[in-house]
Amino acid sequence: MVIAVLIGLSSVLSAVVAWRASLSAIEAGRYESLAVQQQARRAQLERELEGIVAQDLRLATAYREHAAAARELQQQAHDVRADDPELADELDMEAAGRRSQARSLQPFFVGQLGVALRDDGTVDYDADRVLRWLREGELELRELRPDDTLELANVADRRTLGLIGVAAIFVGALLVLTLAQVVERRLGLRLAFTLLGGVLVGVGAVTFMALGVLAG
Amino acid sequence: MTARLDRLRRMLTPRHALPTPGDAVEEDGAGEQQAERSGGAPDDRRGDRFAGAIAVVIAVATLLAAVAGLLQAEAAELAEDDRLAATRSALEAAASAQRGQQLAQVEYQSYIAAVEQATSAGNAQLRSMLADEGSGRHRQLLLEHERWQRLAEVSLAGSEIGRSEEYGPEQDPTFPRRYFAAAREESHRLNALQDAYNERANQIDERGAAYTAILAVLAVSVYLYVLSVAVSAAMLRRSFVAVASLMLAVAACWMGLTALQTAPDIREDAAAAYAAGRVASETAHDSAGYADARRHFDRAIELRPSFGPAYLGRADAIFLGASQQRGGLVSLVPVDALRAARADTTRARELGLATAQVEGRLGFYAFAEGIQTGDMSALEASLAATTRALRLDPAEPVYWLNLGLVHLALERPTDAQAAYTDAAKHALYVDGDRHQPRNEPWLEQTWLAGALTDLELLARHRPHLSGLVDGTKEWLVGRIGAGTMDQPEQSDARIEDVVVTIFPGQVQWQAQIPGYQPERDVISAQWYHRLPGAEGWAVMPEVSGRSGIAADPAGGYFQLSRYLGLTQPAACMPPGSYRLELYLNGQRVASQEVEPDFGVLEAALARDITMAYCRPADWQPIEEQVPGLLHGFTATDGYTGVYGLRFDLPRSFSEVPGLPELMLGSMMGSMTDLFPAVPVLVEEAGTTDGYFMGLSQTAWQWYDYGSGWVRAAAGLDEDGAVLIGIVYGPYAWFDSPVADAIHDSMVRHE
Repeated sequence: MVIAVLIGLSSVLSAVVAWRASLSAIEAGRYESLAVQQQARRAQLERELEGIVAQDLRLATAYREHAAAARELQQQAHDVRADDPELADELDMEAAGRRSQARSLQPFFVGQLGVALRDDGTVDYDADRVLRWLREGELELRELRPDDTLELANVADRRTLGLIGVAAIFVGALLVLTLAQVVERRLGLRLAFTLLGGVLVGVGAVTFMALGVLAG
Repeated sequence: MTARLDRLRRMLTPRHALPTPGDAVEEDGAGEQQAERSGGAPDDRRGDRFAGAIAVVIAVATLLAAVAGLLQAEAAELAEDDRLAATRSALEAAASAQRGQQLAQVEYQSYIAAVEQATSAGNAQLRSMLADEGSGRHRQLLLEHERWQRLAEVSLAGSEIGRSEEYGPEQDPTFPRRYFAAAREESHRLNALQDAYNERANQIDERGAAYTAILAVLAVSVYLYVLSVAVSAAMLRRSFVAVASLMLAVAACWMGLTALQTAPDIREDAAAAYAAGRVASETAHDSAGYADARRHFDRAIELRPSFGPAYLGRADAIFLGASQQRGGLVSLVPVDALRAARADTTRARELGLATAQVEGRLGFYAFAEGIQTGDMSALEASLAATTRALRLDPAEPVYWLNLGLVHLALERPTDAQAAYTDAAKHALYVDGDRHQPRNEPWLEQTWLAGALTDLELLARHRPHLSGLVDGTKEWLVGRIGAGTMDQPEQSDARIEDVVVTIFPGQVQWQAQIPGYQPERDVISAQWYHRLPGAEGWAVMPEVSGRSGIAADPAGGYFQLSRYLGLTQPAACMPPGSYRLELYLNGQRVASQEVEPDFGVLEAALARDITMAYCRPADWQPIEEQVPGLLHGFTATDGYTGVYGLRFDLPRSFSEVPGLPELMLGSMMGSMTDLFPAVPVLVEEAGTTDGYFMGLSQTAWQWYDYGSGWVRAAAGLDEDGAVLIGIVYGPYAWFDSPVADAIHDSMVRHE
C-alpha cells in the first residue's frame, strides 16, 4: 500500500513539476523577449531625447553665428564711431539686424527655453544638463531596465533547470518504487527500494518547495 | 525494534505474498475450483482480457498525448511568432520614431529658415526707412527686402509647417509640440501593436503550458496503466487503473477545453485609435483637447478591452481634462473624475502595467478621492500604492511628497516627517546624494508648489489638521524653497506693509523689510490662485520662489515675477483670486489676497520685436505683420486692436534727446493705415513719462482718430532700439479696464 501511495504521489508530483518547469521556461522566454523590446524602447526614447538636443545644438550654432556677428559688428561700430560716424551707424544697423536674426531663432529651441551668447563667444546651451533634465522628465525611461528584465529571465532559466532536476528525481523515485513493486518476493531488496524511493520522493518534494519559495 | 521491522515488512508485503495458512488453503482451493469450472487456465484468460483492455486504453492515451504534443508544438510556435512580431514592432517603432523625428526636423529647419529670411526682409525694410528716399541705397534695401521676402515665401512653401497650417504657430499655441507629437504617431501605433502581440503570445503560452501539463498527466496515466499490468494484487491493480483512468479523463477534458480557446485577433484599428489618443493627449492643453484624447482611447478600449496602455492613457486624459489647473503638478480634480481615473488605472495595473508611474498615480488618485469623500480605505490604498511606487522608483521626489501627505492625512505626523525629509533630500539632490546638488530651482519650486497645493487640499477637508499642515508648509518652504536641507537661520527681520499687484502678465509684491540681510535671510513668495467659483487654491510655480527680490528705489523691497511667456502654451494670468504667502527663513510672515478685474486675456508672444502682451481671445493677428518690426492683433471689425513695434536704430540716435517720443510721433504720422482713421495727437493730454516695460526715456501719448482713442507708449531699450506699444479702440471701450490691462501686460520678451 505504501509503495502504491508513493508511486501515486511521485507520479502526480512529477506531472506538477513538469508543468511548473514548462511555465518557468515560458516565463524565461517571455522575459528574454521583453528585455529585447525594452532595450529597443529605451533606445527609442534615448534617441528621441538626443534628437531634441541635437536639433537645439544645430540651432545654437546658427544662433551663435548671428549673435557673435552682432557683437563683432557692434564692436567695430564702436571702434570707428569717432572717425567715421556714418560707417558706425551702418555697422550699428547691421549689428541690430544680426541681433534680430539671433532673436528670431529663440522660440525654436525645444530642450531649453532660449539661449544667450556668453562673453567667450559660446552659447549657454549645456547639452548634458538639458539631456539629463529631459531624461528625468521621461518617467518611462527610468522604469525601462532591460538588464533587470534579463536577470529575471536568467532566474527563470535557472529555476527551469532546477525543476527539471526535481522532475528527474521523481522519475528516479518512480523507477525505484516500480522495482520495489516488481521484486515482490525479495523482501530485503523490496524494503531497500521502498526506502530509497521514499527518500527520493521526500528530497524531490522538499527541493520543489524550496524552488517555489525562491521563485517568490 | 524487531517488532517494528516485522510490522513494516507486513505493511510492505502484498497479502498474497505472506499468506496466513488458512488463507492459502482457501485461495488455492478456490482457484482450482474455478479452473475446473471454466475448463482450464481461467486466470490466464482473464489476465489476457485485462492486458488487452489496458493496451487499448494505453493506445488511446498515447494518441491523446500525440495530439497534445502536436498542439503544444503549435502553441509554442505561434507564441514564438507573436513574440518575434512584438520584438519586430518594438524595433520598427524605434526606427519609425527616429525617422519621423528626422523628417520633422527637416521640415522644422525649413520653417526656421523661412523665419530667418522673413526677419532679413524685415531688417532690410527697416533700414530702407532710415535711408534717404529715392537714393541708391534706399532702392538697394527695398530690393533686398523683396528678395528676402520671396525667399521666405519659397522656403515656407517648401515646408509642410505653414504659419497658419494645422501644426503651425498660429494654430498650435504649444508650437512645435503638436508637430513633433504628430510625427511620433506611427511609432505609437507600432508600440500598441507590440503590446497586442505580447498579450496574445502570453495567452498562447498559457495554452502551451496547459498542453505540457496535459502531456505530463497522460504520461503518468500511461505509466500507471502499465504498472497495473505488472502488479498481481487485484486491489492495487484496480487502484492504479482507477487513478490512471481518472487522469486520462481529466487530461482529455482539459485538452478539449484548451483546444477550444482561441487567441484574440491583433486589432490594427485599436492600435491606430490608441496612437491618435496618445498624440491628442500629448498636445492637449485644455479640456477640449483631453476630451478628444479620451474619445480615441475609448475607441481603442472598445476594440481591445484588454488594452492596458489605453486604460492608462484614458485615465490621464480624464484626470488632466477634469482639472482647471494648467500649470505645475495637477492636484485639484473633482471626485467623479478621480474615481474614473482611478478605476482605469487600476484596470491598467491588473492588465500587467504595475510600474512606478501607475502605482504613483493610483496613490495620488486614491488620496485625492479619499480626502474629498472621507473614505479612509482609499487613504490606506493610497499609502499602499505610493509605497509600492517608491519601491520601484525610490528617487522620485513626488512619490515621497505624496507619502508624507498620506501619512499626514492618516494623522501619523512622525511618519509624515520622515517621508518629507526624504522628499526634500531627493528634490534638492540627484538620487538623494548630498554630493550632487540638483541646482534646478525651477524644478524644485515646481515640486514645492505641488506639495503646498496638496497640503492646502488636505487642510480644506481636514480643518483640524490645519496646524500640522501649516507647520509642514513652513518646513518644506524652509528646505526645498530655500534650496538647503539645513535648519533655516534665526532672523530679526520683519516684513511689513505688503502691497500685492496682479498685472495680466506679471505679479508683484512690495514691502518694507526692516532688518533684512540678503546673505542671511531667505524670502520665499508662494503665489496661490483660485479660479472663479472654485474652492481649491493651487500654487503657481511659474511666479513663486525666492529669486529676483530687489530694493525698491522708493524704499523697501519688491519682487516682480513674470508669468507671461513662462508657460506652455503661453498664457496670461488667469481670472480668479490670488493669494500671496511670504515666508522669511521658513516662517510664514505675511499673507494677502487680491482679485484683479481685467477678465480673461490671451497671450501674444512677439520675440522678434522683444515684446509679449495680453489681448482679448477673439482678436486676430494682423496681416501687415513685419518680422522684427511690427506685431499686432485686432478685433475682427478692426475697430479695436493692439500693436507692438520695435525700431532698431544706430547707437548715435540714442544721444538724440527724447528719441522715443520723436519715433512715436513719426510712427503715428507715417503708419496711419493701421487705424480706422488718421490719429491726431491730443496736445492737451501732453506727453507723460510713466513706467513702460522697464525702458528708459518713456513717453506716453493720447491720439484721437475721430471715433476713438489711441493710447501709445514708447521707450528706449538698452541696445538703442525704440519699442512702442499701442492700444486703440472706440471712446467707450476705453472706459473698460481692458485697454489699461493690455498696456499693463506689455513686457520685454526675448
